[in-house]
Amino acid sequence: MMAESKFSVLTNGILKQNPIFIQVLGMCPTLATTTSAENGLGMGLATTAVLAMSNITISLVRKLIPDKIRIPAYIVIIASFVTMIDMLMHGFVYDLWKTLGLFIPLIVVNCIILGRAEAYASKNNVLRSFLDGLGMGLGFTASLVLLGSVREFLGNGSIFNYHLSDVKMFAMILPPGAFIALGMLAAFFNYLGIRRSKAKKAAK
Amino acid sequence: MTVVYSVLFMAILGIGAGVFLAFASAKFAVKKDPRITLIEASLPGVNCGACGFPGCSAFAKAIAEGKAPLDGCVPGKRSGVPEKLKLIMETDVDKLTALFEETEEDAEKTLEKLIATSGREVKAAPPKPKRPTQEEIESYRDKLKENPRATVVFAVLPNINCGVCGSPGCAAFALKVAGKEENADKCVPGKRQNVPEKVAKIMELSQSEIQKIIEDTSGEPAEIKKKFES
Amino acid sequence: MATRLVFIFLSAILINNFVLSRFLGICPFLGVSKKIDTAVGMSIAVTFVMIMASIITWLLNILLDMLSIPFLRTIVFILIIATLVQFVEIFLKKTSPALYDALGIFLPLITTNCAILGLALLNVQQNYTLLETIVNSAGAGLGFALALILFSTIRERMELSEIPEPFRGTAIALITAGLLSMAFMGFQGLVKL
Repeated sequence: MMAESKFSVLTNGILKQNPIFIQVLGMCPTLATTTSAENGLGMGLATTAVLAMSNITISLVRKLIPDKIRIPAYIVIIASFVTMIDMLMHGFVYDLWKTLGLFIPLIVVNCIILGRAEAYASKNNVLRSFLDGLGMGLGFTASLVLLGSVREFLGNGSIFNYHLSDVKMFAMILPPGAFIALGMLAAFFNYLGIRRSKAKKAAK
Repeated sequence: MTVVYSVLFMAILGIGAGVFLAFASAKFAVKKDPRITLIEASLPGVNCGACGFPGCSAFAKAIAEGKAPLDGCVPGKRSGVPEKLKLIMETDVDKLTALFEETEEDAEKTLEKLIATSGREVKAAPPKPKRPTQEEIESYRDKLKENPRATVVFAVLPNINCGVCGSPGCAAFALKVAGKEENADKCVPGKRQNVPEKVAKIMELSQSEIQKIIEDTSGEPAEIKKKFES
Repeated sequence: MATRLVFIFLSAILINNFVLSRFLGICPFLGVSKKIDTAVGMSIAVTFVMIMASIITWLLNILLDMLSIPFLRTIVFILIIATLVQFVEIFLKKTSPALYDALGIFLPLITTNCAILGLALLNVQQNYTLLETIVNSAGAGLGFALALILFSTIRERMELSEIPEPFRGTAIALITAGLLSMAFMGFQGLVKL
């Protein structure tokens, strides 16, 4: 475990243990905030910020918190950072704040953050916890941007507001589109995984 | 002022929540049936599995629920366990709970008190069979290699190293049996697997027949065992 | 007044269904919906926590506003929810061990159910009165239950179908949820608030 390079800690969250496609965590914000690539990016970055900061803090105080009140303590720490991010976004990126709306405070209950705090930050030093949080957050953001781009392209013909096509399937921006788009993407990644494991087996 | 209010509010809320939960967990505590604890204390505690349950705790639970026969504990049969279990199951639960609380939840003491007050004759339990340590198990397994007959005997034993036979592990027991120092009947979990019969057959084989078995199976216990499955 | 309450109730269950329209509570929706019994048990637990949490957080919110510390809202709300869920766990363990065992890990997971925190925040954001809050919460719980139980019946059926390999598991579940969501969109415009 100690030999695990810091780089691999970082990249772990992007591909191998991608929070959305592999771990199937954090579904609510994924479906709700990916109406466009830009919204997905904003949400992903906000979550990454909270994830990194809370991982650092929890790693710093991990030896001080008694085991029985571990989870409530983590929740309070995470909630504090979320409140901070919420207020910062309210002040500096008002339009994005308005669009994301309810889902910014809901970052608190994003299973990814509590999950990483419990699984990694409570057992590793500050630098590694930070890298882990950063990696998971980047993986989350990348997946959000991917899904957001797909939905925006199919639903509005644009990506990041850059007009690309005139095909506009409005349903993609609406809730059913979210479910179906994510389902298709998940199937696609599953397919890639299956192909890769078949190739490995054939190579043996 | 904002800071003061914030700190006060959070402090009161935190303490309030903590007190509420502490109260709730005390009021709604799920009491573990004291009989289960007492039964567990009466059993040998080797988790040999001869009773058919996964471990002594499971057997204790089954007895308390009436789902297991009182004489189900095979190693315990000759150390007075069925009698103790009968005593526990026949005593009124409230009385047991009261006794249990008197001794401050010390199962051993409660048992002694119970036996004393019931006036019944219950055999004192022999010293609990000890499970061998990993080093002991391995050192005896190494010795097996020099003793082909013991290797074959070992192959038909259950190989769970429960220690009930009195020897430190199945390999040690196999060595003793091959040297005619021990009777295969002592292997309590093995009785179900017809170990005494199989060992009798092995003891009748000549040295060259033993050697042939070892050669045929390359000394693999699983293969040797198959040869004795009739 | 009564019509407004009915509108809120219907809206929470059908028109703005918490799971299928508002995307709240997806994790348990995907996680607990494999069997109908666990779905029902989970729905009851969630509805109970929703109603209790909404009432308590609504009351505390008044206090927060009075002391001019509204920024503590998120932290306070989530603490209340965590405490309530812990209490439900203790209570269930004693009164209904069977349900407790059936729900297993999903019981403490209700804490991180975005639906409950989302509901609490929505009640406050939309300035509902206490009665409206209770009605909204009951509706939200029932809507969650409806979506979850419907979905679990479909999933139980799907166990017996032959699904292409890449789609097995989460992918087909999501697509099915999408179709269910599309069906619920038919309720749009049913009532105008």
